Amino acid sequence: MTLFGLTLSHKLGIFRLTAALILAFGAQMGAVWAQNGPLRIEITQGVIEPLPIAVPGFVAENAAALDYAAKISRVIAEDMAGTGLFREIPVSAHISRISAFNDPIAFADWKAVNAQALVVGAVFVQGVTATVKFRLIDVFSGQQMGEGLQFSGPVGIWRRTAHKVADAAYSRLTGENGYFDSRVVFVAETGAKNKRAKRLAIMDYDGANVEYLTDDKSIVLAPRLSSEGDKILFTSYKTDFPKIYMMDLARKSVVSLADQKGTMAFSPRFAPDGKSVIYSLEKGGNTDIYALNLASGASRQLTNAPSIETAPSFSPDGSKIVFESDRSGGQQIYIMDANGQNLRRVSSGQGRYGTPVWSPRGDLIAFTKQNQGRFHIGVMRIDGSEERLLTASFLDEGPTWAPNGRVIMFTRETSGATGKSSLYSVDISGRNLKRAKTEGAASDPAWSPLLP
Amino acid sequence: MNIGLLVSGLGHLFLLLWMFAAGFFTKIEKTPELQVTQVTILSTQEFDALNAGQPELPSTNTPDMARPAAELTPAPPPAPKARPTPVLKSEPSPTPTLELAPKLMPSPKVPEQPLVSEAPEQIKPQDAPRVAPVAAPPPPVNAAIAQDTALAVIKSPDPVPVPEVMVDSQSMAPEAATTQIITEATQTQNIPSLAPQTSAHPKPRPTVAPKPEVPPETITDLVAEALAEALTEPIPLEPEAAPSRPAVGSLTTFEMDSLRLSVQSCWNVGSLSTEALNVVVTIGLSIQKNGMPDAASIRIVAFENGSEVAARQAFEAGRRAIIRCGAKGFKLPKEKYDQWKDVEMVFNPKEMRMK
Amino acid sequence: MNNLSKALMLVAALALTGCNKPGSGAGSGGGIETISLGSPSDPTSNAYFQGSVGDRVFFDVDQSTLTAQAREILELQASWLQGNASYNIVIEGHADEQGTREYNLALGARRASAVQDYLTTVGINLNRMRTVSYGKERPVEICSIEDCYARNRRSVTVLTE
Repeated sequence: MTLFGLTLSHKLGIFRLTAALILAFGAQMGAVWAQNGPLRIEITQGVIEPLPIAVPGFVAENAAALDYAAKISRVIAEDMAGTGLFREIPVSAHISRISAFNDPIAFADWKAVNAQALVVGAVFVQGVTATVKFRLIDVFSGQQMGEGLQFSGPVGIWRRTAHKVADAAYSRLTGENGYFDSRVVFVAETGAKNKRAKRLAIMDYDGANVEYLTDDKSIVLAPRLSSEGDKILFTSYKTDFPKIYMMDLARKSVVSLADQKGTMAFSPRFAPDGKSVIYSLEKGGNTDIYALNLASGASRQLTNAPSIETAPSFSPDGSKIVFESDRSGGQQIYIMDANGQNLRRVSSGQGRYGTPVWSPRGDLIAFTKQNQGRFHIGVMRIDGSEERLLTASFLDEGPTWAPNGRVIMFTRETSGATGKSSLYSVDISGRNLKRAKTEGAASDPAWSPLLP
Repeated sequence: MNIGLLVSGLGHLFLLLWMFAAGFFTKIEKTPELQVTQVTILSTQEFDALNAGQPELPSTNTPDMARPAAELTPAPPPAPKARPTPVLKSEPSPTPTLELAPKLMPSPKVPEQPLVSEAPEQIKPQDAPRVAPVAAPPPPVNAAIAQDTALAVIKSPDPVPVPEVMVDSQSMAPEAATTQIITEATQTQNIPSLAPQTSAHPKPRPTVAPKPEVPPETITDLVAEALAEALTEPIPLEPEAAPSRPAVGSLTTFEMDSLRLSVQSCWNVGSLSTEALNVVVTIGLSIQKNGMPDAASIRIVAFENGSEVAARQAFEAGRRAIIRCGAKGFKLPKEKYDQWKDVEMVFNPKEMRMK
Repeated sequence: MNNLSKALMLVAALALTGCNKPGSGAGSGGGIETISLGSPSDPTSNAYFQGSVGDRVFFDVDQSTLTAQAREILELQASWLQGNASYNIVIEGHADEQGTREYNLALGARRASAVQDYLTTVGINLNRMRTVSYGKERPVEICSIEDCYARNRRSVTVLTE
């Protein structure tokens, strides 16, 4: 019977482990097992829905914590729901209230509102330190998921503390790391399309705590973070010619890199170990990829072709580089070893493929695709297979990976004289496409790793 | 197998948390102004003890609360199980306590298996019909709940349907469910109002239950039953199994379809990690005579295509499906109880994977 | 010389048709310090170079090959530059918005370089020239149709001192 993909059998209980054993014991033994073995059904169709969770307001354990408790639980709820993997059950629908952290859970009440996971927490503020503890409940199995955890940090960074809690909850529910306690560096844009002013800015992943890093006197492009999240590479027209600069985020100090007269350097990216930088260098109209040793200052040419080679990105282990080249006539994606050897083409579909970025998990490459007048953000496996387009619009480009490799942020620009850039994010399943909160127009996002 | 998995799960979880803690501690030394620390403050055993000791649990297990409380009624069916007890005992803690974690508070008073040990007291309600009678509301034994006026309203003599209605009207502007990923890029047109495909299967539970005495049946149930009746003879099962069963024993394919459909309508893979979406997990469980799954018996039998961590996520999603959709009791023929008292469900997300 | 001058001006005027609309930009697209315009009636002025000689050439989609029309304009530029030896130039390469940022930077560099190469072949000393690419960062036309794109796929020769 294969209706609805059903496969049925009264097979042996622990089939995989015991099959050999059963065979050894012979048919009679097998018959006994078959008689007593459990009914076996295969389930292949389910639903894809956000998991309903409840985040009741955290308990304020002293008066000083009142405000923070409310705000922290809100940030956690927004983090979770913002992933698209969870749907928050509004507090107004809750039947039960949590009045103390160790209160027994009124499971029936949470089940009644179909909360499948429950985040219970409390906040205690002493002086400048906020202590947040939480526990995560699997409502329908009546079990606590993992241990309760406690985080302490200065009240001034209460949002980070909230993100940390949400990351821990996300991790337990999904089995993969979170990405909430992270930042995004980007280009903040103002002004008309033909005289757009740009400056570097950095914000929390959710748009909070925006800080501007440069003024808008020079065009700045495509900032990239180090894997430690402490330095930014970017391209600036500060000297009227595009050059690569490196900013130390803590000190806000900027140094110029790879400065050669008569050339144009752009599209830099850190090696995973932070010791070198790969970038594009243009000489006499031809653009190739180079590697710069930050300690010695020595540059090494990695590609040597009359075509455009640009937008390089390291694999997470630093052994390979993915980049785009138009050597075949149009932009396509290629991979080579970190020393420039063993070049091979990866993309093969119709249209043009650019701005490849290796996922932090190492298994996927995100890219920008242009085809038939539309732009897409997509992902493919590193051998070019299983290409999946996640978005489509007038102009999408420049993907960057969330630290957990599950979400991609990118630039979307609208068309026409009033066209503006915004940051968008999308789950790698193609679900949960949404605009990121920024004060004004924004482009060229680069997602930091999880903060320590 | 299960012991091994458990040990492995323990080890992995400990390792993960240790890495967490280690990371934070080193960071404290580097940048004191950003210190965020975490410590274990409540173990799952303590948690179980905390909740197991509360009167609220038994109250939810009364027959009139049968549906929402099913997962809290782990009483084994009267007939002894072929499955050995140790398996049962090892199961209720898929997120095991980290007894090696230095920050873990000891919980000496916690009984090893609070759920199982309570089970005998809960057997009796299980034999009541799963159809909730119109009965008095459960005694408001839990102080925290009793003082909640909103709850008093909810726990009217119709405890089952009322929360459902409330859920649908207030908290659930249901998102479009889909078994197929429709991205912006794959839409034929970029029309914002283009409705995504809806779920192929009905919501796990009816949105409105006008009378608690008659739990609404899903269409698939009705169809399955009608078809089953129409057939004078059950469709023979696989030859290897059929001969060894008594004549009355074999479930019809429709009966099994019914079970499968009712579980898959609650099987939500929407929050699974991409790795967990590759895991094919076989979950074993016992079903009580009233059709309700024995929550404590739900366990991983086998898994493939993934790490233990991913398998645990896959298992938890499957377990949620079994518990949620089994809360009313699976519709299975009582006279064939021997055939379905032990079930293995293979959750294979191959067709649910992102493509 | 006078006749030649007139002929050149005619060609330049033809070449410039369609790109002299208000708002199409004076020349520099970015932060490069340009010299004062001067009077358009002064044949040695920046304004005269931009308006009468023609400071820009256009490219086909995704191309950096000079069209015949582009070569004619560049020849005019070259003769003007030879007559006004005190000026140096920066050649800006630009692209339309239909492309990714990095690629368009490289494409703009190709265009600027193609112009520089041609000016070299018609006698301009390499020491007087620099190139820069703005990619798609500095369009002169802001609408999102091919008409505008065509005017944005350009190189602009900017006088410096």
